[in-house]
Order: sequence, then structure tokens, then C-alpha cells
Amino acid sequence: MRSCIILLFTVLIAFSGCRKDDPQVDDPIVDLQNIAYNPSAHTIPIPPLFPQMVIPADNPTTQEGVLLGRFLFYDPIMSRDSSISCATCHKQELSFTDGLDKSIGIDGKVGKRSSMSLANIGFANRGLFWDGRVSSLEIQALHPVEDPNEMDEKWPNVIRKLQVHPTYQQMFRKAFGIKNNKEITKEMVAKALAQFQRTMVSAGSKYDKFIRQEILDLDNDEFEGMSMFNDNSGGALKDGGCAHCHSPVLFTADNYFNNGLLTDAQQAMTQTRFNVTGFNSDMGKFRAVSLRNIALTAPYMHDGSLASLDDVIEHYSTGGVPSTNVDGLIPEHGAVPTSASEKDKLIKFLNTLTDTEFINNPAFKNPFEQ
Amino acid sequence: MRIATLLISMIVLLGACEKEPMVVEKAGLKLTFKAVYDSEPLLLSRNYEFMNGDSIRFQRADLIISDISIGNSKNVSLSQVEWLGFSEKNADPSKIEEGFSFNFNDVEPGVYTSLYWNIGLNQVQNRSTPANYTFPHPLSNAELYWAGWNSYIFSRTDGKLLTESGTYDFSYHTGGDILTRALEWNQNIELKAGEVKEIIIYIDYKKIFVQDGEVYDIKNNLSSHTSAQIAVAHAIADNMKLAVKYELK
Repeated sequence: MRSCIILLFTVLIAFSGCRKDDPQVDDPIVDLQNIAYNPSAHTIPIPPLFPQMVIPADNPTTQEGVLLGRFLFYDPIMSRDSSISCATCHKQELSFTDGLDKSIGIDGKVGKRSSMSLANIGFANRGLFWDGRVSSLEIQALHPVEDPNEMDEKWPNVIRKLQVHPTYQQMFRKAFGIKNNKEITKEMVAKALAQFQRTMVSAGSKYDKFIRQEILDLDNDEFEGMSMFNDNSGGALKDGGCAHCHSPVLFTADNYFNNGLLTDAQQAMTQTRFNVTGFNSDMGKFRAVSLRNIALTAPYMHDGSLASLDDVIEHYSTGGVPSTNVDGLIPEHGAVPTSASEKDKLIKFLNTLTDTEFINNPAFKNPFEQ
Repeated sequence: MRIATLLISMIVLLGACEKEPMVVEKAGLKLTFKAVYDSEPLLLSRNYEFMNGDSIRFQRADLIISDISIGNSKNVSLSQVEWLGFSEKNADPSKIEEGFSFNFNDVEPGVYTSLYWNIGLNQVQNRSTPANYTFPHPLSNAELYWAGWNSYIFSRTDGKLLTESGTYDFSYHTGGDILTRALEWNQNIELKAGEVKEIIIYIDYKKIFVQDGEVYDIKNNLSSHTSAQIAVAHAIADNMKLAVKYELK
């Protein structure tokens, strides 16, 4: 009797093990070759003054790939309990952030970082995540699924769920030309997500219209705020030095900076750029995010520790927390802008970077709600 | 028939011989740029002894260089634009000896009498913007473009001066057409067919601040970002030109 119980228990464990870790077992092979595979190129329009976007040769953007990526982005199917999708932490109305200091994943678990905006993420060439630990959108997309604080799922399970899903079978066929459902891979998922994210181009703000001369002028305060931002007020106003790390037109230098948020002791206990490169000069550095749509993406910084744009400007005005590796650009520009009027002008300029066309663009909306 | 075949074969062979291009072997030139501090390889974030008991530490050390050529009776263009990103390269202790090497393997053999290059860009290049280039072209990097100047940032020399009275953060950026500095090294450079000659070009970051015993007043001139600080930018650009040393291997 005792042996039988042990055997049954063993079989149950083995069965559940097969279902979870070896998803190929039992699921039927579905031949998809009767569905036409004829992907159409999707040209991502590059706005005037923007740099060219680098698209990997092994992942050309197609209409079918973008559509598949969009569905996957909004589908919680990739999380362990089907409760979390990419869009949970990347909401279009918040420029694809989530409004939280630290993102909340499965089972209400609190993550380690504030969600980053995806606006113009396709132009990032020098690493992704706050510490730049991955080199491409295709690699980045693989991470959240197995992160215990995010989707906490295993890729084999995700792939099985997609392989048995009739709609996804067809979509993967159309996007990647698979012959049958068993050919769906996590790399294809990542490629589709990357294709969709590359289409998230934001260039419809008041600032954009001004530099493209579609509108005649910014108002006076906005213009003066821009001069402070770019250090070219000619001495009339304090220079903010903002553009060193937030270079127009993308409003990011696509690089990593120690912006005076953490003490030396805190830096030693925090995952920063140093943990990726091992170089002392990278201690305490984080990716400089784009300031496009910045008014929509509070709270700010990697840990969401600054609640408002007022707080951010105050942080830079006072020079931040002293540390060995704090960027010389921060203290050098500390105490500017000093007056409430100057801060107000800088914030008014930052508000011109809000792109309402982007956050309402139907091409980026949840396809399950349309 | 056999004779005819033989004849045709010979004609074909002869024709082939005539078409064979004359192979003229070229010479190679390797230019290696190294950042040093007082002859030691420059390591980012390391404290170096400066002057009068002070120390200095560099956080950024980058340059755009352009119009690299060698000349004798005529100029041979080698490269239009290159990026010397010591901020990244010299952050890695295992790579600080490497420097940035550029190999030119298709140079006409001969004796050249000068090496020419610019720190900064020429006016035509500086009218472009990052939108005109594709990554990884150096000029595609938006971080190197300063919209307020309508110019690329030709050099960035940022760091901290550590003194008894406190720490002084300095940030010297040069840009704008008038801050391009043309360099010329007059030296016989004999390039032989099939051989590669190397020139090592050292940029001594101490010499940017100390020239013939004269110490630049960092404390009172901490940055060069705005038009009001143009004199500081000129001083840094001039000193950088004087901080260059050459070695023909």
C-alpha cells in the first residue's frame, strides 16, 4: 500500500513536471502551411531631426510582426497567473510608464525599479534597463517573463500557451513563417515585442512643432526655459546644463550618469552601471532617461524617489547627495536655477515635451479593447 | 582540329595574361591615440598627483578628431572623422594601454613629411547634426551635439580637483568652429610596400593644465559651456594642442 502511494505520488509529480517543464508533450502539432506567409515591410517614419533608427538585420520590421508584438504586449498570457502583461507597467496614457515609484508585479510583489518610458526606445543604442545590462530590445524582452517580481513565469510554459493558442499560431505563422505551432520560440516573442516597441516614436509635442517650424513660437517662459535647458541664454538666465545628459532631440544622451542620488554607501548596495561593467568610474550611474513626455512619467529616477518635476529641479539645484563619483556636471550646476521664476520656466519648457498624439495614438492602444 | 584547339587555348591564355592587372603593393599606417597623465596611462576615476599638493581625477576625457592626412608633395586623406572616447576605454584598467588604433592599409608607399589632423571638426562637418548619420558613426551620437552652440562638442574634459580647501568640479567642453585646432607633425614618415608603420599619438591630460610650469587656474575657471566662458574654452583647446606628443615606431 505504501509503495502504491509513493508510485502514484511519483507519477503525479512526473506528470505535472512534464506539463510544466516539457510543454511539447501531448500538445498536437498543427500544420500552418496553408496560411499564407507574405509579410509586408513596416516602415517606421523617422521624424525630421531625429537620428536614424538601427534595426537588426535579423529582425526587420513587418506589419505582421508589429501586430503580433502589440497583441503580446497587452496580453497577460506571458505571466504565471495571467494577471500581468507588459502594459501593466507600461501604460500608454503615461507614456508607457506606470505612475509608481516601483512597479508592482505578480501577487502584488513590488519590483526594484521604477518603470521606464518606452517613448522612442527604438533609438536607444547603448543598453537598456536603468543599468544598461542588455544590449537590445530583443534581449530585454526576454527578462520580465522570468523575473519573480514581474511575471514569474517560465519561458517553456509561455511558449506552450502560445503554441496551443489558435490565434497566436496564425499570427506567428504570418509574422515569422513557421511551418507548425511547435516552431514558436521565445526569440520570436522577443522579436515581435521589439518590433512593436520600435514603432513607439514620439515626435508630436509642442517642442517638436516649434523646431519643425509648424508653429511660430513657444511662449516667452517656455522659450526662456529652453534657453536655460540648453545653456544658451547668453547670460541673461541661469544655465541649467540639462542638455548634457538629456541631449535634444531625443532628450537623452543614451548614456549613464551618477546624478547625485545616492551616497557612496548606498551606491555600494545598489545595482548600478558599475555592476554591469565593473569599472569604478561607473559607480552610482544610471541611464539618463528621455525627458520626452516627462510631465506624464512621475515619479522620477530609478527608484521613483522624486515625486514631481519640482522635486527633480530642486534636486539638481542643490547638487544632490555628495559622493566620490557624483558627476562633476551636477555640483557644477548646483544652485541653478535658483529662483522660483527660473524653475517655473524650466518646468514650462519640460511641459512642451508632452506629446498627446503619442499617448492617444490608436496604433499603440490595447488591441483587445478595440 | 587539335592544332586549332591548341591555338585557341594559347590565344585565350595570352589574352588572360594581358588582362592581369599590375599588382602594386601598398603600405600600411597605424595611428594609435593614447590618453596619458604625465606619461602614465590615464585611468578614469583614479586620483593623480597634480600641483602644489593637490590631486586631480578625470571623469570624462573624449575628443572628436577629423581630417587626418599625411602629406609630401600632395596630401593623402586617411580619415574624415574619428572618436576618441577615453571616458569609456580608459575606465577599464585592462584597456588603458590600448588606446584607439586606426589602421590604414592602402597607402601609397613613399616618404611623407607631415601628419595632419584636427581636434574638432571642419566647418562643413560641423554644419551637420546627429540626424545626418547612422549609429555607430561617431557623429550620430546626440550626446556629442550641443544644440545651444549649433555645434558638436569637440572635446570633453571633466573631473575633480581635490584640494585641502575642498573639491572643485571642472567641466571643459569645446565646440564651435573657432575652437577647432589644427595639428601638424613634421617628420619624415617612410612607408614601405608591404610593411606597416605605427605612429603613437599621446594626449597628456596633465599638460592640458600645466604648461612649462604654469598651472591653469582651475578653481576660478571651472567650466566652458557658455559664450561667456569662451576664453576658458580657447585656453583649454590651445593647451590640448600643446599636450600632444608623437612617437614613430
